[in-house]
Amino acid sequence: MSPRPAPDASTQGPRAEQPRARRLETPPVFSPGSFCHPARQETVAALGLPHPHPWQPTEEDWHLPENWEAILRAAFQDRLRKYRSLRVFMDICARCGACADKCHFFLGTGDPKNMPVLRAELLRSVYRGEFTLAGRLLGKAAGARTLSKTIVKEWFAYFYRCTECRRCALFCPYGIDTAEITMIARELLLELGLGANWILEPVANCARSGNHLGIRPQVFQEMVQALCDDIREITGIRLTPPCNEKGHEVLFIAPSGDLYTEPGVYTFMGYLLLFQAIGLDYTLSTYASEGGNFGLFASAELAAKVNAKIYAEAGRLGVKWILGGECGHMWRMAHQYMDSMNGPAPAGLEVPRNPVTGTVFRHAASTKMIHIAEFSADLLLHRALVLDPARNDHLIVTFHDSCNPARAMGLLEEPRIVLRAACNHFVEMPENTIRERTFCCGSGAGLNGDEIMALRMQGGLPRGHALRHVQRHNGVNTLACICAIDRNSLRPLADYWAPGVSVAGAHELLGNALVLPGEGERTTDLRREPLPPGGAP
Amino acid sequence: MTARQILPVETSFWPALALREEDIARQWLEKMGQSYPAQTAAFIAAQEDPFANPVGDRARRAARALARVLTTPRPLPAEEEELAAALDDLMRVRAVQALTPEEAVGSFFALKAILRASAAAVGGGEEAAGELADLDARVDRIVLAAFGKYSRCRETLFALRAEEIRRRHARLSRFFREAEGEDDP
Repeated sequence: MSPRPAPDASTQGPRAEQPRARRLETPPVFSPGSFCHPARQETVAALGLPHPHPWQPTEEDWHLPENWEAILRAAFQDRLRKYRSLRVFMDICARCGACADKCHFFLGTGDPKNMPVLRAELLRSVYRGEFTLAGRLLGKAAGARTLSKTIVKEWFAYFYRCTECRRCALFCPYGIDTAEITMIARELLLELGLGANWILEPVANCARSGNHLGIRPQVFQEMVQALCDDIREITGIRLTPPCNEKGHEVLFIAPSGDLYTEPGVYTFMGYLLLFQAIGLDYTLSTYASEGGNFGLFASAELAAKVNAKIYAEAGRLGVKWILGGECGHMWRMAHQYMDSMNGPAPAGLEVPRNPVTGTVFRHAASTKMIHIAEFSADLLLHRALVLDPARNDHLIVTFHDSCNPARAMGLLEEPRIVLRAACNHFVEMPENTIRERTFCCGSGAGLNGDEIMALRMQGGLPRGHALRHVQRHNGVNTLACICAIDRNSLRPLADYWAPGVSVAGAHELLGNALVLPGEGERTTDLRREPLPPGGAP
Repeated sequence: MTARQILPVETSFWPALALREEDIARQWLEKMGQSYPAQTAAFIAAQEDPFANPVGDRARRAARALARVLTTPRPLPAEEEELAAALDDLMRVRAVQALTPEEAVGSFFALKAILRASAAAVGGGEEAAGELADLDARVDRIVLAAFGKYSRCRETLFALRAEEIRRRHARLSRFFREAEGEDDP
């Protein structure tokens, strides 16, 4: 690496030289728009987390408990004992730099501390200083640091600038999962009462009402009914989705964002139309009214707590298996943690089997839960759905692989099967920005609060750049996804980086194309926008 | 001494400057890179894949468009359009990064010094005062255009925040509005 040339004071402003060797000594800056709002004292207390207290990142004193160093040391030691992977991740990094330029936050912000290797080094240096002999003896020479209040601030700054997307992990020759390093760092901060409000408030809402927004059961059912009313006006078909009913085959759980926010609601309408088309025997639940899990962005305990309702409700209702909606992190949870955190699944559950095609989803033999994209793809591969993709002919669609379904569960081809069937015009973004190499939306892992919109746009630059490319060269006007956080966060991302591109769930587009028995002639899509007269745009 | 320098200034200045187009682009790119820490600047300069290095891609495109427009006496409309689009792309990045407005826009002023040095190198000294004044004025217009784009991006950012808050509860708001209407006709 070449050193930075001397800045020209008349044109370059006051940026200070930041030599590499001293980067770990540079204190974090909390400028407006760059940090998450701190969790409110009442929220932290409501969750029973330690040391609830008022504090502000911009203030010098964060009002840490008196014995904060002992608390952190004990908490770190506890995680090292509990998770062998953490100790391996702390010890094994060779600083090869393969991950350095793979992070969307580094690419967007240009801040070297957002290189995954350096972000992890913020924790790793303390591990060396506090828990290794070499670090204690050699200090800085061994890349070791001892705990300080500045380091605590640094952790809050940078571990809330990681969306746990795991793109860096894909390129690491040792397979170090930087997302899990971020998870641990956030857990350690919670021990001091330091959390992000945008994460902990939804968790507290979940604890009270079962979903992130804190919606009560009556409102949940009213919202479903309102969407059914819209479907009736658009298709002429009256739907009455069962809710909280025992004795059905499938429990369907969607991220709650699909019920309350736009454009998620159109995706929910797509789910309901699909179930109607195949006569699925399912029920919704007001108790398990949230597939998303912001607890996963706070701590393992909170993740397990929020997720517990899924098996509890499946067992209570006596369903055979669980179908999940288009969600991202729900699938990291279901695919990688649910078994050990909440398992085993209730005794009555069976390996998911598509009642229409007979396909048995053996990969979900243990969790008993599958993603709706794999369910729909199976239906399409068996030609079990009647579609009129010309209804989407006004759309030129590309697909954003959401980090968790793509990298955590390998759901790469299934959503494309759905989109290619539902739309006549489908275009891929450049190959190093899709599938397992997909770029994050920049707003995952609880970083989708509006207070950090500037940071989110920086993190979203690599995705936005690729989107802009296909917009210019292929006329793309629709960005499809299979994640509720994406459906919300890609909206501002597209508005900023590729104005004119709208965002849709894959099942919204499938819902547009589905031809249902007994439906009237459709004149609008699910957004009540006129259908194209025919022909390509 | 290049062959063009022995021609009269009024006929040789622009063709001679045009020969330095790539060099001017490179120099400006280097100046722009100084907004970032050394390690980042080196990465931005080195990684050529446009999708693995979006900031570098946008900066390179802006540098090429700037150098093209500023090394010709009368840029073609297509060249002006390309510059406007490239500036827009670059300022969208600069407007959200942790830069002050002065830093985000200031690097365009460096074009003046780069152009003067390039002009001097091709023999365009005092006798090319008219052309240099013209270039200064054009750089000023570019800076203003960049500042305009910067400001609009910042406005967009705040509008996106407001819009996101509205959209987040759009259906709930509609539901409660309708519920209130039914309760209180």
